[in-house]
Amino acid sequence: MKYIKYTYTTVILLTILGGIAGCTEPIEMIGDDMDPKLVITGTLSTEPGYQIVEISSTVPYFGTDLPENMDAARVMLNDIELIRDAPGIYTTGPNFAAVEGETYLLEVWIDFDRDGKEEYYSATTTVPYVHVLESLTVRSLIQGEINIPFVLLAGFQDTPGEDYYGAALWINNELYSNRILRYYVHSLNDYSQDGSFIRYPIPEWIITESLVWDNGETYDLYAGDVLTVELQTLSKEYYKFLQEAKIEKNQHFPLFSGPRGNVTGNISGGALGVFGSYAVNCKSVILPSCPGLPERP
Amino acid sequence: MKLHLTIAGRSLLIFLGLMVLATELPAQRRHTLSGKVMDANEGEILTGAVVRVLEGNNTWTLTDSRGRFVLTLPEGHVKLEISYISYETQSHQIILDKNKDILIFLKPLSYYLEGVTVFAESAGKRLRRAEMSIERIDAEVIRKVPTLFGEVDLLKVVQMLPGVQAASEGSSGFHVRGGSPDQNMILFDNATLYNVSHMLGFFSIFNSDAVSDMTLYKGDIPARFGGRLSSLLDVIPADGTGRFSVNGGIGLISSKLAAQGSVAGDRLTYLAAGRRTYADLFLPLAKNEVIKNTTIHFYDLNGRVRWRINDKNYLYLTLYNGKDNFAISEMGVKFGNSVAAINWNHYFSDRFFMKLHATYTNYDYDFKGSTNEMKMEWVSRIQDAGMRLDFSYMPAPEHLFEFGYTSNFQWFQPGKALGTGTLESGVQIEQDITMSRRQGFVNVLYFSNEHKFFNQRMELRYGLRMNRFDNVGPTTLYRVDENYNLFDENGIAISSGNFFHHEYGWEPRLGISFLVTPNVSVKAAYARTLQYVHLLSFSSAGSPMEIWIPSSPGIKPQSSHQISTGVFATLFRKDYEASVELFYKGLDNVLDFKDHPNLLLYDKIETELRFGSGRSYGAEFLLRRNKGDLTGWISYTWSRSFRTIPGVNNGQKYRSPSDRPHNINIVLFYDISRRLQASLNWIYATGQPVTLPEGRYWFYNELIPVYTERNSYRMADYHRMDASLTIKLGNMNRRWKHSLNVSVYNLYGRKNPWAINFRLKPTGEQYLEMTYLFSVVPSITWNFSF
Repeated sequence: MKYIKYTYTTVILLTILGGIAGCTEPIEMIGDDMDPKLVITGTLSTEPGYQIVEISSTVPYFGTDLPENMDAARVMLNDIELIRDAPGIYTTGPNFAAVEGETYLLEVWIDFDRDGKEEYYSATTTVPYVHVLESLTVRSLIQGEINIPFVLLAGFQDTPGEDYYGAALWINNELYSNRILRYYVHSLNDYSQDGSFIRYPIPEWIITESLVWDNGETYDLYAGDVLTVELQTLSKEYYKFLQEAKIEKNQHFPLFSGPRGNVTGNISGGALGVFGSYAVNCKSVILPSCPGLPERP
Repeated sequence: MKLHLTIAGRSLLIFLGLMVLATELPAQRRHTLSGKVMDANEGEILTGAVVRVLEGNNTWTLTDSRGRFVLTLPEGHVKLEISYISYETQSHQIILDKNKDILIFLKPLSYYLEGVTVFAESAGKRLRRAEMSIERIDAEVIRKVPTLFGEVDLLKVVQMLPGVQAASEGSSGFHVRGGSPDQNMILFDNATLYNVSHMLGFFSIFNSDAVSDMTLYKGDIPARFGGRLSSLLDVIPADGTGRFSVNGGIGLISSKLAAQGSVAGDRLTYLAAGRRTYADLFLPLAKNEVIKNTTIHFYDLNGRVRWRINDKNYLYLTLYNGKDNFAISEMGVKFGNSVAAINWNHYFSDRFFMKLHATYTNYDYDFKGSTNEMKMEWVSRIQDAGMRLDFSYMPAPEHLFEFGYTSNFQWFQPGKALGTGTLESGVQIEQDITMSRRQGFVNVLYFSNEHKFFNQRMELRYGLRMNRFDNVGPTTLYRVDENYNLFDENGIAISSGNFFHHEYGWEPRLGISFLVTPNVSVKAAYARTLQYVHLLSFSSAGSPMEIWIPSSPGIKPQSSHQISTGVFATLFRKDYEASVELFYKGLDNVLDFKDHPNLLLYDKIETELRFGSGRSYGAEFLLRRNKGDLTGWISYTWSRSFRTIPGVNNGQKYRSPSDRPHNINIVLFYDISRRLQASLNWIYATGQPVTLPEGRYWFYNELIPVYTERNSYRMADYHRMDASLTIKLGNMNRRWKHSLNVSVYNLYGRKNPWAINFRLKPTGEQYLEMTYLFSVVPSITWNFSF
């Protein structure tokens, strides 16, 4: 399936590049400002550490204001009150690890509309089980050659039924996937490879002498660099939220894009955002020496 | 079933009754006089020419869409008069001592010799007919309209008609009166087409050399047609002419060639046409390896044979094959259509005839890709096999009765992907993702009746289509509840040949016209239409990835009601036509997608769709000039279009993508001299609706947009001017003729927005960035014929 989606993406790029000699330019077109809405985002990981819940408010889209964090009266996680670490930031203790298969309830009390009464918001998530990343290799995209561009192949055993995966990339222990567009999400449920051993080529990270970041910057790569992939098994609501957020952050074109829409969250009470969980497992690979890929100076 | 048989039984009785009428033995020896009426200069067929017997019982008939007529007359001398608007009327004395077939060439009136026929039907005829909201355009006009890259394109001309708008810049898709592109039925010689795009919609599959004319029904669709909510585009293939001739053109990105002629006199005519783009032929010259290994082209081939078996039987065969090919390195996609249509026209008499059509359409696409370890192939296919039987009976000049039966079997393979390979460990792997095949079977009985009253000043037309739609196995049936949740995650397997679900539908049609004065008529029409197949695609621009599926228990048929009325007039000796039409269209079970739907190889598509209602209304104003050196049309359309669909836009009413209130089209042709012809068109449309965010929040170091209402903003208004100049070269009296066509698309370089995306300045401020496709695009084409 991943190959198929990869091919699809390639063909789309090909047709856009080949068939459409489009040009771009900024335009002046400003939408109205909406009333502020409460945003609650929080994730739980099986990796021990601080688990964070963030509470904020939306701001007008066209402007320079940054979303403002807001303090709540109380934030509870399964009857444990979270600690306010900074304005709008609530954390567990330093070594909290979500337990696979367990369901967590997040509850927030806050007077968002400033009417003197607290409103109640809640969400639940069930932590998925870890899938062990059994292999991680680099493969050339050009048939019959050992040369750049490479693609990372992540191998692991899928379990039957619905599974939702994400993957984050580190380069020499520095997180590359620190934004949604550099993060990878995928689902496996009713397709024929469900329950089988999977080797995914990850198209988000085509390895050449440099990675081109989505904001136009580049990240130079060298032979001997260590690439680490964190395979994340995502809860369904978190996967859905990440996937839709990626769609919204990608460019839209009439040929292939649907209408824009709000990212679907799971917070009750009308707040935006998501409360999700994921289980993690990592593996690393070293970039080989090959023509086109320089040695680190 | 009882209803079905009852309808069939009634129709059979009607048919038998008419057969009795038609085969009534004459009191006198009679012969058949048939013929074809053509333009004396260009050899084009003339549809709607009046063929009248001047003596005796004042018998008359009209030539059909192929320029043919048939009269059954008593033996003896016959004085025939043939007339056609803008042509010299001719009289012929014929001794009818046996069945005869004649060929008549009408000469254009002298003042009209160098003009162009803007519409393929006379103004007077259009004025009287109860039909409205119809546009007929012949191939000659299509060829004169300046287009992108100089590639003559029928659908680009359609987009310049009142009430019609392009789906997006350069697209083959079009909106008709607020409908979506998939609500337009496109027929090529009665064969249903599902994807009519070459090169992502920048060109259509119709080669103008292989097209005679086209008719666009914008809502008041005749009872013999149906299947889509908004419109019917009936494209008629061109017949070969008697004299062998060749014509062709060489352009910047493509060339084309067509040959036509006849054998055995005029008994068998043929036409073959082909074209191919060749930009890719120059790609190997590029230095860049990627470009060098890129393939990008399309071709199409048309064939047409007409066989006059005898005076009462004609056989027509139409063939089409076209394919697009995009490839880069080891990956690529091919897609295209194949069409076959065979028609048998049988004239029981000069007043009763039958047309039997058998059609087959295949559309498929095929992605292939490979890497070191795996190969994959992804295919999708649509097939449509159809049969229709049309009868027409004219008991009197004031009365036309039509009835018939149509049947279409539709196979849809929405997607089948297979990946195979060998892993480094030597393990063989195979990944197969197959979406369930879906099949639909549509059977329709119809009848319609046209009456003329008050010395033919009033015309009343009414008809009814009676549909039965069936889902046929094998497939996997996914049933959903009212919240679009599946009853059964794995679906229900339906065995092959199992007719597991059906729908009945009624489509009444009604039209009336009244000739207030010889130059003014008023008309009104009502039409209900049903649609049993649905397009699952985001694309408004002719993506090859388009997937169609039939209705099913979870996908109800879409339906519409449309009422329209208008005033039509001819002015200045019928040199000009003017009309005003008002319409209102209500839509039910109209389909849209939930936010962020999963359409990619997803079998349980019923969970991704949402259904609701819609409405469109508007007014269309048209002024056109049919004669003289300066011809063309100017139209203005004001219209609105909305949808209300639970699950979309919080269930609130929102603008449909086709809601573009103001639309102006100016299309002009000017004969500067015998050698020089100029064309110019200008298009204006209110900006396309677009959804913009009004708020944002942080997540994962990204600003996530928040929307409040779908399509509540608009892109900048669209406008564009195109121009072309045709210069006839050489000696124009010789058989060898050639000309040069120079055209400019988007003459003043308007940057029309095609897409809008959100960008972030380094300061953290969001801004909008538009993508536009074309600036000024000049092109040149050399055309020849001999």
